[in-house]
Amino acid sequence: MQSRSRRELITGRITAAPQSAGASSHLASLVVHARPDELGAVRAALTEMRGVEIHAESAAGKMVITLETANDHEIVESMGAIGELPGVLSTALVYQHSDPHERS
Amino acid sequence: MSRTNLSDAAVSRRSFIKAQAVAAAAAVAGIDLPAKAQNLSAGPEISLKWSKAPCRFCGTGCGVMVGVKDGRVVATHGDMQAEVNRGLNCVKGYFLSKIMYGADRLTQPLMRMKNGVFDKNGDFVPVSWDQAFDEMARQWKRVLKEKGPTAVGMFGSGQWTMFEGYAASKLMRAGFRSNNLDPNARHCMASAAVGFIRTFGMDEPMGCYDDMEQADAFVLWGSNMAEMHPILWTRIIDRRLMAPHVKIMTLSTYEHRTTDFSDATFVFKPGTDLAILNYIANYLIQNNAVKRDFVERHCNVKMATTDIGYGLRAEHPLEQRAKNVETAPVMKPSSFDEFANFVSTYTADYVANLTGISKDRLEALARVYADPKTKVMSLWTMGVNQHVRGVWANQLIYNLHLLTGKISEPGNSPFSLTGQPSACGTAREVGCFAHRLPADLLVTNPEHRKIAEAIWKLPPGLLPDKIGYHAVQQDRMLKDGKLNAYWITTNNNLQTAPNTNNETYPGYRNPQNFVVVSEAYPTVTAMAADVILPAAMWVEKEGAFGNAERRTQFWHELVKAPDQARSDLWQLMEFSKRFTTDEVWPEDLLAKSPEHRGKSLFDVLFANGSTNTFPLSDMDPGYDNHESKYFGFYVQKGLFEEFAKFGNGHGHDYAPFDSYHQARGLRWPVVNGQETRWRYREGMDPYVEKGSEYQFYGNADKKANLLAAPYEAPAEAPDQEFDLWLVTGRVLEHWHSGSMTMRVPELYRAFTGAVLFMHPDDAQKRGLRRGQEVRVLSRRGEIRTRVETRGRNKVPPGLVFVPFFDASQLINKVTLDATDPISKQTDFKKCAVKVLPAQEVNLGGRR
Repeated sequence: MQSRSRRELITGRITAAPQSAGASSHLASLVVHARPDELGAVRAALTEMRGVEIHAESAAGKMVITLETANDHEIVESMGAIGELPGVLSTALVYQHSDPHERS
Repeated sequence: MSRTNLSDAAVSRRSFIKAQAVAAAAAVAGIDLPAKAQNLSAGPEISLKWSKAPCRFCGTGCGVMVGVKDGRVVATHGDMQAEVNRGLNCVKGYFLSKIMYGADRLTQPLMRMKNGVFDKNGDFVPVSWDQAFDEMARQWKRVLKEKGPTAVGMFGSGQWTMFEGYAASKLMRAGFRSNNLDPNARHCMASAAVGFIRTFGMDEPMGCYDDMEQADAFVLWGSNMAEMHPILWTRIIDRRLMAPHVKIMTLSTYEHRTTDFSDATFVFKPGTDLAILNYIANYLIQNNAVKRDFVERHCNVKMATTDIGYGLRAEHPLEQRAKNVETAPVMKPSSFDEFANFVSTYTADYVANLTGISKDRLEALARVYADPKTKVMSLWTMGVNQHVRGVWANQLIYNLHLLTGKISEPGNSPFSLTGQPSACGTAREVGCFAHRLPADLLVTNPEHRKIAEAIWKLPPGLLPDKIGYHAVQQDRMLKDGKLNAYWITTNNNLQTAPNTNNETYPGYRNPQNFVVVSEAYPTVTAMAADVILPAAMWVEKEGAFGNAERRTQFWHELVKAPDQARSDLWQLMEFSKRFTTDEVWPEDLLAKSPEHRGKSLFDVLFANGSTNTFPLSDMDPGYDNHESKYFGFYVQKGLFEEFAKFGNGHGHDYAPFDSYHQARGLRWPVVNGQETRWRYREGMDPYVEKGSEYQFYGNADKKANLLAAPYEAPAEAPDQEFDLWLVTGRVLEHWHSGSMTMRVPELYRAFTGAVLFMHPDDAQKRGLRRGQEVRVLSRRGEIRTRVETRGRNKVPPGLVFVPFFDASQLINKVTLDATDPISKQTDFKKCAVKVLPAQEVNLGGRR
């Protein structure tokens, strides 16, 4: 490992952006909880998002979705974006799988 | 890369995994799936081995199922059998399978060297474990010889497994005879722990998460649960939506994701929560909402010592000016009438003016506590704990529940949340604080030391009786050259301690000191050390955590740590072999106890006929265990069963070791195989005697303490020059200082750098645009960051918020090292700063 100078430590300039491990297959299932009266709008917004698939929903406003993308980075951004959608109360992860040996 | 390139087998595997993922999510959400999605019976072989583990991040203690393939964690899902989270995980759960595989993982010991020997000014060079431990032992022995046990210290963690914390406590207190052991949990819940002890005589909440399905009202004192405890927040949201009468009231110094979904939000001026709490107590008394028979039967009234300073260095003018620094913890006996008289000055007019919350809104909040039909759950974390009067704030919350008798029953629950996975289990129950032994015993109490000496099979009188240096004091003593051999582990203190540029960094680099850091990644703290030891993390070792609701949870070692990385448990035990009792214990004790003479510390602490009781054959043959195989006995079981002796029969009962590998955690006290969900209540807690209704049995007379304590101003407030409040804290995506989460490439990109949240009017007044680079300056130091006037945190005029996860913007160079004088916990929520545009002149050429 490279040594660090005191100046780097003092200025905090030591955390380089980590490298991605490369291609991998990536999948997550989520429970998205929307306000029941805004379920339609949330559903519409989710349908527009890349890699999102809606599998089921309940009258209480809960939806089962999967996120599947060509790269890891998009999954995280999508989870963040879903959380910020108007009418979304919570976004919870249930299942995630990523196998670095399995190329997609 | 297109999916059309996948082989048929891969397609089949992928759709099988996806079907599983969907089925799991549907089951968790309680939603029926269309029939076509349910057919999983003919799945292809995907050869994953699933095992349970608690999440590695916050104190909620979510259960996770961990899928291992070819020696690597490749999948996780929320554990549906775990009562805490019922199959859900938050976004951080997504990264559990990745935190061990960061590209810059530390995999071998490193030491600063020049010309082949240790040199504090040398560069880091890979060395063997033997070389690292040899140099460490040489330095420890030098310091012990020159200055004695008070010059060695350790800064541990609420992320240590319980076994690791226990081994560290034995090594420090019994081995090196020093109480200079403190956890990073000092920075996050010392005020809560001290508040419990001062009120109930026993640490940790009386209630549990089950209260969330029973309460009619949730009052969040400064907690942003939606971001910091998202899974518990989903339980509260479910309750709120299913029972429309339920209300969520959130108090905070700024608006955030939690306030978005609260029924009422109260934004108060920093520090004035104390006055709000006293106003509510006064309201309860004035409106006959006090349950007088409960108070008379089950409470004592105490008066706080006031004007107690701010835990700064003794020469600081604020400490010089304070009258009662020395007697800060003293509570004087008082009466209900005196209490009533004391809070009577907290009138609606006075408090509305002080806090900025209108009188009618204050009254609406007070009515929640006053209404005998409303079951109230109060929740809090860092807003209350990281507070120069944090102990008082904890106790003033208990006042409201005690005055109304709304305590120790389902739904009526003052509940202190925690931020680290084993702040409760390790830092508190095991006792890794400078003043504590296991099971709430104290180093200053001779009877308590005798108990520890007996269980640990030590010569009588061996354990030190002086309270050691607490976290902030350790930094000061390192700087002052009084603490010289120092081991930091499982925390990133150079990023998380207050006023680091003046009080932390100088001590690490003080030429008199030798500093060791055990870490999984090259954090700023590791990079400032003299030796770096590579640590195994999470499921690379067998472990136990204790969560915020007294739930003890175990997991097995599921994968191997990379290369030379070893668990802290292995590191602590192996290092102990390098010392003999003759080198570190005084001659007069050895003379009285000749059987201890000439033994290694490993022999007397771990191969002592107690810790090494259980053979390797007791281990589950399905799992590895690198420490036990190395040392030749079932290390974790021996440590746990020895530790459990401290509390069994005394209200801290644990179940037998093996049962925790089966159960999804058990909430102590576990008596006759039954966990305890509500303590201190007859019929719910086996320790409460029949006919007594309630017994707060941590105190000798089994009564809880009401405390009269005033509003006292923060240590530093904005003035003409430093004209803004600075509040620091976390964000959803990054956990604490980002040591683990910042290693995950996806997450690094998603929330890449810290920003300064500022009110648009404040930005405009200073001529700042959104996204502009600025300097944040205090009397201690400065950082550069960028302005954010929108987004998730909406701060009021006069206040800015900066998260602390970003190692390139060390906001703790700016914060003040003021602590609660009783708990010694830092106030990271209140200091004064100014914000200036970053000038064109850029000396360093940043980035």
